[in-house]
Amino acid sequence: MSEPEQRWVPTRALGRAVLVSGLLIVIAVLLGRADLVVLAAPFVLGTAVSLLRRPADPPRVRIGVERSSLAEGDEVSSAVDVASPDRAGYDLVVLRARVASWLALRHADRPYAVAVPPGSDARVPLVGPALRWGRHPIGPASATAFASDALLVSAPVTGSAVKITVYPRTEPFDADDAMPRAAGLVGAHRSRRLGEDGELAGVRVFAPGDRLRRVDWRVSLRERQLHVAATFSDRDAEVVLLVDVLYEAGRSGGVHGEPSVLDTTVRAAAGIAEHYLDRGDRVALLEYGLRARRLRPATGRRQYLAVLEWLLDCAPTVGAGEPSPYVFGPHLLSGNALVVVLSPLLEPRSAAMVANLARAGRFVVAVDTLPPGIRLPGWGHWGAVPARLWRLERDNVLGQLREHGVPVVAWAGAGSLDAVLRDVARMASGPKAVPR
Amino acid sequence: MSRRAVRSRNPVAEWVRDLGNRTRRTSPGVVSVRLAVAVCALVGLTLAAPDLVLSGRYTGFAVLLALLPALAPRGPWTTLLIVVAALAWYVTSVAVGTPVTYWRVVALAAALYLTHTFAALSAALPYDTVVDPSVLLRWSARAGVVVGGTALVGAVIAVVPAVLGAHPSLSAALGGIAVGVVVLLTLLGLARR
Repeated sequence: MSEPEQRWVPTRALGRAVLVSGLLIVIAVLLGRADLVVLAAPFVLGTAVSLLRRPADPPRVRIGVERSSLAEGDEVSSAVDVASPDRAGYDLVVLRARVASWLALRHADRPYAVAVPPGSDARVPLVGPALRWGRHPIGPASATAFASDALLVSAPVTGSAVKITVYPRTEPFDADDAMPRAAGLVGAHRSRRLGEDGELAGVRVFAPGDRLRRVDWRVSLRERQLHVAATFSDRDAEVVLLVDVLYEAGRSGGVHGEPSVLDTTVRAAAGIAEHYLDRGDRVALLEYGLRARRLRPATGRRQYLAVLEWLLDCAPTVGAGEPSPYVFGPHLLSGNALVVVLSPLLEPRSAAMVANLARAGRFVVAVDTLPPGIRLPGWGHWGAVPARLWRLERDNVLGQLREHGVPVVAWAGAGSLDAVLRDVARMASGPKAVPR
Repeated sequence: MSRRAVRSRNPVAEWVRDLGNRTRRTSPGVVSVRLAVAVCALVGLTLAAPDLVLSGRYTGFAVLLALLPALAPRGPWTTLLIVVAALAWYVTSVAVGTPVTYWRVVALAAALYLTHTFAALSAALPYDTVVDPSVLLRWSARAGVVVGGTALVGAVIAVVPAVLGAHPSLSAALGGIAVGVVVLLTLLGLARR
């Protein structure tokens, strides 16, 4: 049978008080010195009074969060509550909370001592900005209570952790050009094909099959011949954001600091997804890593929230392996989809994957997410030579990709993709040689 | 092997770096409590043996002894200091002939108790703890009540022989009995809970 858990144990101070008071009283009585009794009096009184208001139960600890979902840079408002279930309070409770390093919460990096009066509770606020996207835990928090003037100490009590979700701050993105190829005659994009919709393509002579509501009466009266207003059709499109998580590079400085590769990738993906979803397109996500996660294509606000949640779980893959061709490959992508690959292109595997997609006839745009000012590990003055060789090799890979017909563009926020989308749309409208 | 790894192997440099970090992280609340321990301890030693401490011969020793409980509140130094102060009180009153007055003995008792209680608080606080001001206020108030009670006990013990016309050893015996009663009542109260 196991020993019952000891809730309160005496501290060294209790031993000291008992020793000093006992020693002084015995000597006082033996030597007949009343002044030594006075010296012992505060130790006896203090110990007796404090032990009489000894609590029976240890404290209860709970972590509370005002909002569990916020964006990068937002203020986290949380608190650790310590309650006394007993009539007696605690003279001192030392709290320690473990908090994710990306939450710059005040007082979270050191213990906090607070008093809990009888029958009430104490609250330690943990407030500060969320510096980086992700799912960050606040807690667990442990509390050690001291009672009876620190003559007794409780066993540590732990309050369970609370997770908060910090969504990436979307980088502003806007692409004006048409989609390379659309999936159907519905949607928000003006196509190059004439059809029934809003944007005016011109006025032409009436032909059999034209609808009467399309007749432009003003021009018809002037020209004395029936004319109709021709419009472009609207078409929808599917955008696949392919997120390369094989490697993380650079040191993330949070929302206000230098971005790492994964920071740029996640924020850019969120921005692009928001843009196309706002326009009514279908957006899908695919991860190029060992897990090869996938988010099915869909439209609307719900899909945007799903995209953000999906992006929060992006983590660099460790290992030299690559996803199996059965779980990752061009067969996962619709033939009409615009594939935006967000990759630092640090690895031959990534470049090969992009080239494979292009060879399979997909419309691929590569967004280079390697931060421009990334620092390479320095090896003194010899470090410059390998760094230069590495940069030349990488430029060579980018050049080879361009030769495969994959435009590569560095991520620069709004308008990043306009020029390359125009090229892709032009290529899509032209004849295409397919190897047999 | 990197240069940093080689550097971290030097134990002295590591100790100095650790000390610097600890000093930087030490919070004002903890410093104030430890300062209170040192001041109370020094005052206690001065009241116990004013001739020795104020003469200059033992001042350095007294300051060192007073600093030890403040620097290492979890060690045995607080107990040692209280025992040394009580011993010094007895020796100076017997051997040197320093007069035993009511206010001096109450002040010494208060100083030693404050050293004890602030050392207990200091031992409970890690060096980098942020201390809520209410902790210090409530702690000081409780210590003040105990010191007030000590003054009352001291007055009773000082007045009894004068009223009864008895020998001071009677006060010691009565005081001892009173303390025994207090201890008994405390134990009874604890047993009831």
